[in-house]
Amino acid sequence: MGLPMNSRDRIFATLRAATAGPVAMTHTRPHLDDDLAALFETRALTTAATLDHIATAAGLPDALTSYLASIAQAEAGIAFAPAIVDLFPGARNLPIRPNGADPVAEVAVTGCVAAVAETGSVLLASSPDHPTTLNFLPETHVVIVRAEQIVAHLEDAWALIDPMPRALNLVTGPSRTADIEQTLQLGAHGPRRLHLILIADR
Amino acid sequence: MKFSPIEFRSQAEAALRDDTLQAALKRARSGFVDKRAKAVAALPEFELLRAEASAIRADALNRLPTLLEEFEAGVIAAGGQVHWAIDAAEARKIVLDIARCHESCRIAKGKSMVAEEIGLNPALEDAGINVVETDLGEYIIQLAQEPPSHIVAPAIHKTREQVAALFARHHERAELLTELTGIPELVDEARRVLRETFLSADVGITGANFLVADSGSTVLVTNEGNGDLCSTLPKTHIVLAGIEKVVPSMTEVSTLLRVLARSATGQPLTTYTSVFTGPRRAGEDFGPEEFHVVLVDNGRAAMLGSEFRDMLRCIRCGACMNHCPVYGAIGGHAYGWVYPGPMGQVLTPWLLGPERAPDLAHACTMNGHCAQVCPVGIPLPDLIRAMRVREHESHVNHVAERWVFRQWAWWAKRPRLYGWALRKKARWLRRLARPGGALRKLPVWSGWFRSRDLPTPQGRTLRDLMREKLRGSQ
Repeated sequence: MGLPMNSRDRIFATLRAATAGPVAMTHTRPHLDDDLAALFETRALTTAATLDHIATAAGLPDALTSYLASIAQAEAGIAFAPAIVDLFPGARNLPIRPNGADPVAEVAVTGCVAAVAETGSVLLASSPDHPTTLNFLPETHVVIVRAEQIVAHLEDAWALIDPMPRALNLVTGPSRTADIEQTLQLGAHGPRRLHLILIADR
Repeated sequence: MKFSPIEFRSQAEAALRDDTLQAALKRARSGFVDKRAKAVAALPEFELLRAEASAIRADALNRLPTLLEEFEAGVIAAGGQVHWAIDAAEARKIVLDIARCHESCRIAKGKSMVAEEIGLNPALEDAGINVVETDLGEYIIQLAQEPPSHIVAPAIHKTREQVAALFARHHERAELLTELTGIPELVDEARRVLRETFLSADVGITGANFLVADSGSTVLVTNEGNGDLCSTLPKTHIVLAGIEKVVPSMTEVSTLLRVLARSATGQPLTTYTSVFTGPRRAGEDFGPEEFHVVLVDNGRAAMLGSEFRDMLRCIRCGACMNHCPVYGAIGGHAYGWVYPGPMGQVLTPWLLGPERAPDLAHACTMNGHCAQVCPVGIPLPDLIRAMRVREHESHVNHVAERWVFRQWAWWAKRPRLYGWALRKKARWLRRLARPGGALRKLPVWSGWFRSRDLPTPQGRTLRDLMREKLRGSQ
């Protein structure tokens, strides 16, 4: 007689009695058009994100300022992810909240680790330079995407991640719910607006 | 409101008479079905991906112990903890013990069907712990003190007026009770109130759509972002998951994601797909300090060794119930427990025992829609039929029903006699009914006739017709 089994051992004993051989498998990725940047843009727009093109990173401060004016948030508190704050040399003129994850900042500006053409999504990885709170707490989330970050499929995006961060967020459009009468409403708990600034230059 | 699977018949009858519910069901039905159809039509590879998704889940189940060990090692390597619960009581105890480590514990909870299955909220509340559901649909039914009526859209049976009334009462905001309160105002109201919950919670509890073996990650999909706030702001994050949820890597997750949201809401992908691996890392100011995964068996391991094994492939998309004419007529509450519709007709009698859900397997017309739309190829009608057999064998069905089937079996095993009797019976029934009409009642069968008419037999049996046809073709 052995020792009485704990739950883990009992679960595994039952499971082991029911194992079977491997199942033959293929792995298919959906066919996509060759122009990934165009596809990313089209699909991101169908998720109710908005998108702006700029030629080089030098245009970022102006692009951000004019976007905030367009949504009447010019005076809003902005939280920049430490990872990208250097891209905004003119940021002194913007109302910055220096804490990277102020829960009351109305706008967050972050980068991403990849953009997925298949789904129009951006992939965000948590780190000291990019707190996850920025992706979810503000009313408006602005994500900077460099053209070379656009990959075709979900699998291509995961392949860029090693090791796994604490949180990996694949974000596809602004927060939404259809829990009341199946009526789609943006801005459930996460950002009401997701704005992508696409930088063409390498 | 209390519902129970044992009361299925009376709950179904009440649902059919509930006009508000019928209006909500009609809206939901067309919404989900049309959206899925559009999403599937827009992806030429869908059927291929569906077959691959089925193979991924079948393969993972075949080597579940290996994948679970790999997953466990991955969670621990990332600094998290894994807990194993053999049944609902043990799962509740594990969560309570973790929660009790915190003084004046407040819990923000994301949607988790396993949490509903193990009855987590009542247990937490009994222990004096404040637990708030943060998925909008779950929050609405928590205020209404009702169980979910759909696994994807838990408050699908509620109208905006009912939601406004709930918020007005619980948030003490009588001003919401005007005709000006639309859905945007209600969503904003919930956003405002629940934001406080997220910011003040000590513990966040979420479910998991998938567990990833090679990295020890849990994958969660939401549209609202509530699951992410539950997993980011509180000091402790607890993930509740069934042991069947594990797959080898993110490659398999990619395929499953491609079929999951399309089957559920008709979206190519939900808004947020999040992958959690362990607690916050060195140098991070945010994210939980403790990361716990509670793996729940509660009958699943035994199911793996049974004829209902394929049910464990389920990825909880809700397509089966969205396409089920019985669900469409009676809604989710009538089924009496956490899992409604076809998937529930297999899971509920299995998890609770056939004697506590004797009627569920019979609430099926065997039309096969559920199996056609299931993204992981679960042969639901076959499993429901097998559940009927199991119930017959465990003697939970009605004495009269058993007697009828025994009589029928006696005749059916004697084909000549059966044919003769059937011809007699058809002729007799025709004489009993008015010409061209239908039978409205028969002695003893009043129950059966309460909701149906029997079309009058035309006097000749299928066997007669076939015999004649065969003779003619010779």
